[in-house]
Amino acid sequence: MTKYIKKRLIGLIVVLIGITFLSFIMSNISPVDPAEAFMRRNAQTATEEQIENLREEMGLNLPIHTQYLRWLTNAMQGDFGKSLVSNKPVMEEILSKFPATLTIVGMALIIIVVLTIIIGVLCASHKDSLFDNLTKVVTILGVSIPNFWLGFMLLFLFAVSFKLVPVVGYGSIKNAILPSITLAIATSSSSIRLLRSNMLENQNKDFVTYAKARGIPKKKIIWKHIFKNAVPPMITLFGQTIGYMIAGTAIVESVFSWPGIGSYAVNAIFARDLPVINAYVLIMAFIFVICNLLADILNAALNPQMLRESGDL
Amino acid sequence: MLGKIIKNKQAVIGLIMIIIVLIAAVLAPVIAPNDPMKVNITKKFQNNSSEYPLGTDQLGRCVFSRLVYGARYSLGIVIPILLVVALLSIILGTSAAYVGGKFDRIFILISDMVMAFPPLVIVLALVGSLGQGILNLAFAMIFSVWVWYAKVVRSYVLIEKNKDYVTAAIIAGSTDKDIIIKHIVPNILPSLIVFFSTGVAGMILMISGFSFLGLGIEAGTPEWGAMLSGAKQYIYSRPYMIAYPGICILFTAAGFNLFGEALRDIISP
Amino acid sequence: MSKKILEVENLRINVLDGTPLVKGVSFRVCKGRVLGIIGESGSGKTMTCKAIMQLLSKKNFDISGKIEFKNRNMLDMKEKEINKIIGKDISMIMQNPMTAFNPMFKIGNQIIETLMTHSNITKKDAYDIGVKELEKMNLDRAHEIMNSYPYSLSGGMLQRIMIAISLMLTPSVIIADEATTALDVKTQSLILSEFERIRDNDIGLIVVSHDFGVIARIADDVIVMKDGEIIENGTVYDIFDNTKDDYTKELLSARLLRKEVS
Repeated sequence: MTKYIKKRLIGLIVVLIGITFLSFIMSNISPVDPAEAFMRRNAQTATEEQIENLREEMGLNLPIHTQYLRWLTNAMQGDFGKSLVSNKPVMEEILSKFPATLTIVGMALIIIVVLTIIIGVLCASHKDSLFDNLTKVVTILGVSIPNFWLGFMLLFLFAVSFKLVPVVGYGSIKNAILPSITLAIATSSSSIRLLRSNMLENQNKDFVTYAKARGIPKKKIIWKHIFKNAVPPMITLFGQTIGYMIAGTAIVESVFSWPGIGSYAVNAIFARDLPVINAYVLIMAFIFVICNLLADILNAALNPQMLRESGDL
Repeated sequence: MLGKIIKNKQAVIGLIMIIIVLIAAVLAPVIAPNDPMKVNITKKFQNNSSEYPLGTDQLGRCVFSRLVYGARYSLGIVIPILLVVALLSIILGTSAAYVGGKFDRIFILISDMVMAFPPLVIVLALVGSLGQGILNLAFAMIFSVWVWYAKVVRSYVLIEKNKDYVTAAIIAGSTDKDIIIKHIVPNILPSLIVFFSTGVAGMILMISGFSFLGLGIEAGTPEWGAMLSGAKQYIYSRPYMIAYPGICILFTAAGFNLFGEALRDIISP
Repeated sequence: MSKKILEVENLRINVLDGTPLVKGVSFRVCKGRVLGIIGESGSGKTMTCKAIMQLLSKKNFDISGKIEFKNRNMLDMKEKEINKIIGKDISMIMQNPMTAFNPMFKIGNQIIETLMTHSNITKKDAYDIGVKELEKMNLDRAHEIMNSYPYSLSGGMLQRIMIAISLMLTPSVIIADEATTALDVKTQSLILSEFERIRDNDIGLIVVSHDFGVIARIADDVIVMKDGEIIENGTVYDIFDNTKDDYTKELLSARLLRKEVS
């Protein structure tokens, strides 16, 4: 197990170096000169000399690899420079936006897990029933629905028509309900189907037949033998999903005017606020990679056979 | 194969939905009763009428005509992107799997790095630094997803490559080009079609999402996501203006998802 | 004639669309005797066993006839009553020991689970019983086995664990469905001697196999199945020395032929 973790951590370092490379490249292929953009925004009449001074200060005249190393050293200390718009440290701003995003992602995750387990298990244990067929239709719609539109429809239904929740706003849990549901629908749909098909696959396995032949009660067979063996692929999916959702909030947050990291990034894109975009990309990739790694390690701990099959034990 | 598709209800429904959207896209000028771009402020927010089947929007443009033309934009953007991604991923995925060795290792290294980014983040980053606009968006989309597709192609080819008939073809003296084009590609094609068909749905959603944010297509264009974005301030007074384009996106994406999944059931029961 | 424990009468199994799999099979299992069921794959022998074990879902199969155990037809019983019998009074040894255990749980867990389902004992007692039963099967280091995952044990070991599980609740009938097929010859022989021990315990044993060698070694009574029907039955001497049926002769000669070749 520790050997497996060590191996994964070494792989992680390689990927992390790659991430910093790619992030740096992606935010430096911009045709916009950040120094010029900054001066134009903050001083009405910027002289060529002022711009040149700023360029010097920002290190834009240095060779590209020196720029990268400088950026990397600073980034590793949590210093991503200052926002071109607000002139405040990027890291500070991003950290202040995280709680809002984590609130809806966390709530969405709870919704997803609960819906997936209840509906997925019911569908698998009542295969081809009316409920199962209905779920099939609903989940196909669920993965096909544009989430920003779903957000508006929920807003219209629950906030405007029924007045059950506040329209927009930020602060209480009530405000977070609609954005979380919006965020959860697509992922719930795909994970319900994955759990259902995993469980159906397990249902025909020898160990389930043998458990039945040992007289184990039906409920225990479903939960202990069929469900638990269907869980590892779900963990992999969830690991990926958490990263996706933290990034995917950009659209949902903009529908609900939710002051999280996603709408912050979208605003930065409109403003061509390169240091912010830069930091956003790097942090998102970092979170994504870590979530995937944690899911794999959790899987390995739950399922020792997997380690053996992949030759890591 | 074709017979099986016709027998599968889900596949037929999905296919019909796709065909409806395709027809709308191709025959938009014939179907649409009005010019989708024609502004007429005096006729804004009109109710349904024989002249305007679904009424008019805030600038007096025919909503129905705009929805019909919207099919052109959605498919017109997604299909070229898909073709490029398909070509790129088939070439790279196949060569990585077939050539193997160093080339494969470099491919894996690069793909691991690109796959460390959620696609949406790559698109946001590239659109952010390259600037908005449909071409930049298309480039960003291609760059963000090719690797996921190429990796799947690679795994399909790896499985196929080790099958007996390929070994037999190698022993019989077939050239690599022959083996790839005559044997491997035709055999993995059905699986790829499934994969790309569900991929189309995802891309349609992604593109409409970006137009909604205002990051791809110019505002005012009769594209579904952009229409929705333009209508969001009228959610209280004219909710149908938001409802219609969303239903169109849902219809198109559901069509591709239904078809793709039915196809998967047919190929691997 | 010794005492009968289980009687199958005119058992018919159809797929719901009407395709017959077992077409009216009757036999009885007696105390302290081994009933061998032999036939090719698709002959209905496994289906018959699964029907006795109540492993066939009514959603997919139409089952009629009688499976009489302790003077009651199991096909008429409610699920609750069935659960009290299956795994306790009638237990099973599966074909492939490598896949029969849940890979996510230790062997001990699955032994304790079985014991606690059928008797009112504490986890600790169940563990102790499990260790004792494993030791009875000549498995050394029983504690270690209890704490092992299935994948770290060999097929022969797992098969002996399965036999231990099948015996530990003192059943009246044990069904062994191709229980030696997946094993190498040496382990096969060991497992067969275990079966002989089971017979001496006054248990009715059903051994299903396609291998005449296995049947000849341990069966007292034999039935030969083909296409869902019994085409010949009798004592093991009847079948091997005075075969009447052409099909059985064919099976037998195929077996002899294979022996000569190998």
